[in-house]
Amino acid sequence: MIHGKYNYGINVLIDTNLDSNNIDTKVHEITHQTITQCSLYGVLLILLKAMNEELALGLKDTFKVLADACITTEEMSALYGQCLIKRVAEPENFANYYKELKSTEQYHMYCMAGFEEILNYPQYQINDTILLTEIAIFAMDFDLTELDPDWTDPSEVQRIIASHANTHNADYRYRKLIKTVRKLIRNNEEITEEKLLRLSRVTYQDREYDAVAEMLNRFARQLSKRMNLPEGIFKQYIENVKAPKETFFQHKTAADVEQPFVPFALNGNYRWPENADANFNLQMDSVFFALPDSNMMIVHKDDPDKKLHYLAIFHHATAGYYYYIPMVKKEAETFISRFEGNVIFFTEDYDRVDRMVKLPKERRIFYCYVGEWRYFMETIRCKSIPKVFIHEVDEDKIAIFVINEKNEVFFTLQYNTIYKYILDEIKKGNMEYVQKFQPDFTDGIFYLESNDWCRYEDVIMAYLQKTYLNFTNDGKVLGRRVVIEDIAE
Amino acid sequence: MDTYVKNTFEILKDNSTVNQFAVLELEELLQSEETDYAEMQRLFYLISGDLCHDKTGSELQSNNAKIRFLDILQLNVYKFLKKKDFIEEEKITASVMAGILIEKLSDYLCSSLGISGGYASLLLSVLAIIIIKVGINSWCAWFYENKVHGNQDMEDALTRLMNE
Repeated sequence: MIHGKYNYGINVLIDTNLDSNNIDTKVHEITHQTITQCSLYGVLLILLKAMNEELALGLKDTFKVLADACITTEEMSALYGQCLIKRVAEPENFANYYKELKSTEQYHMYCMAGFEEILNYPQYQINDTILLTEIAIFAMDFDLTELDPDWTDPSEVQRIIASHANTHNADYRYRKLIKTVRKLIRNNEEITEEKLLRLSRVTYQDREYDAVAEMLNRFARQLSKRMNLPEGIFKQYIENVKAPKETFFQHKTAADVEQPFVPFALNGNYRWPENADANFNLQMDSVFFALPDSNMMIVHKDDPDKKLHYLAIFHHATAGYYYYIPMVKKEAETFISRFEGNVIFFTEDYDRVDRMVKLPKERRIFYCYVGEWRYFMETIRCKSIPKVFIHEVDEDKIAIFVINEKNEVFFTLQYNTIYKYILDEIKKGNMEYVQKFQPDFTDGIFYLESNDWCRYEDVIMAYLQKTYLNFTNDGKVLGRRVVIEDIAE
Repeated sequence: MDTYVKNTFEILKDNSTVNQFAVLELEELLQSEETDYAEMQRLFYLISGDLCHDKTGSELQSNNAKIRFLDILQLNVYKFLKKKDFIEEEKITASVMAGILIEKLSDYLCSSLGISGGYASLLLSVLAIIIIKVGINSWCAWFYENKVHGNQDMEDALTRLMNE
């Protein structure tokens, strides 16, 4: 079972089945995110992955080579971070926890000799950062574009990294730094940046704004030359994703640490409909017959040929089934208009979906946003002050629903650690909280009919991939709608 | 470097699913004077994971205990090496050791993990090369001390294996 995932982007996905006790998973994944975002090599990986997906560059193998070169750095540091937090949070259980960890594949594959020695050393920080997180950043703070590899040739990229191991191979550098840490530990010395770099002879380049900008510009030039494409394509893409100088961070703020965690169903149990090989209409009939009261989630993404492809996932909340059917644009259009259940869109291109969906105004479309709270509001197309309500899903997760004038509902699932940021928005007048009217369970905005509450709960269930027939959670109901005064206290 | 070792590494280098930096590092360690058991063992796990498409993490039921596949495999190798009389250890080359291990264990590997015979042989060859580099007796001692001793599940599994 996958507990968490950091996929070289902004968000850290945590499986929705995990509860707040799984702090170690959160720390493991946020360590990956920190190392990657705070080092030059990591930033290059983030950009290469995003650009490859968005611009269909065919550089997947090159990305694999780069990721392979830092896998031990990433994983060993993340395992160290998760052990530290577990020891602090549950000292009485730590011995058993560590024993179990030692029997995992991850431990055997990524923990170099000395892991335990470093874990047990009383110094666990350097430069106010977790020891191995900072060391991983030292190891990954170099600019690979300096070597001008042919990015279209993974073997050449690999050869160049290997032949400049001391300066441009993250794992090689990390290993040297770890050996030095062990030497210092054996001499019972304080581990300082100066000693580490001097004794290991590893040098690094600071990830400052100008260094990042220079690296990205050089990368754009190199890609343009190697791929024989106009430099403007790459430069434009980089301009769009690059943080402005004033918001560029050297060290993370509280929001940078608290907001990236996103609950997400990482262990989906999908099935093909019975007659999966049959034609589209038969498949649709099968879905209508089998899942008349299901929710439909539509995931859409451009394929490399620029033909729109959609993946429709039908969730039967009672039985817990997930059927998925790939569709082209026309099929999706037809099907959405015929479908009577809730329609939930997972999309980053609202405008395109908005043009495609032609439904009567009383039919509500749900737009699901997967990402950090602070960017959620940017996705909502609303001319007036947006109306909002919160549904507390369980002890640590909340679903936030926002509606606009077009009767479109935007929602996102978050951890309740972001309550203070929501309250901030309400206090500033950027959002208006909608209370539920009693006793008929309507509010005139979200709940128009007395049983409308179940539509929202169905949407949450579909996103969480939970089923009403699952009694493993002691038969707990799906949380409650939040009264704003309760959280404002 | 021995031709067999060279050829094995050539095959690993041709395999795009395997982390090539791990392959290069293992090759470097095998050529170095010092013997870094722990790092060689770690790289063996890393390369095996890639070769077997991450199936090496599979846990096999051994009585009531669940033991990872690669540990069972190495327990079998350990048992075999301990039961054989390798007095003339210095005469055994990596290719001979690999041949012995492949003959004894490749079928088991294929049926347990569902990987191809070629991958199973490659995995056993890498293990054989490491064992020859560190020495049969040293490998056995290191494996027992670091992987078996103090781990009740592994100790029980080894006892059962030795009695079979």
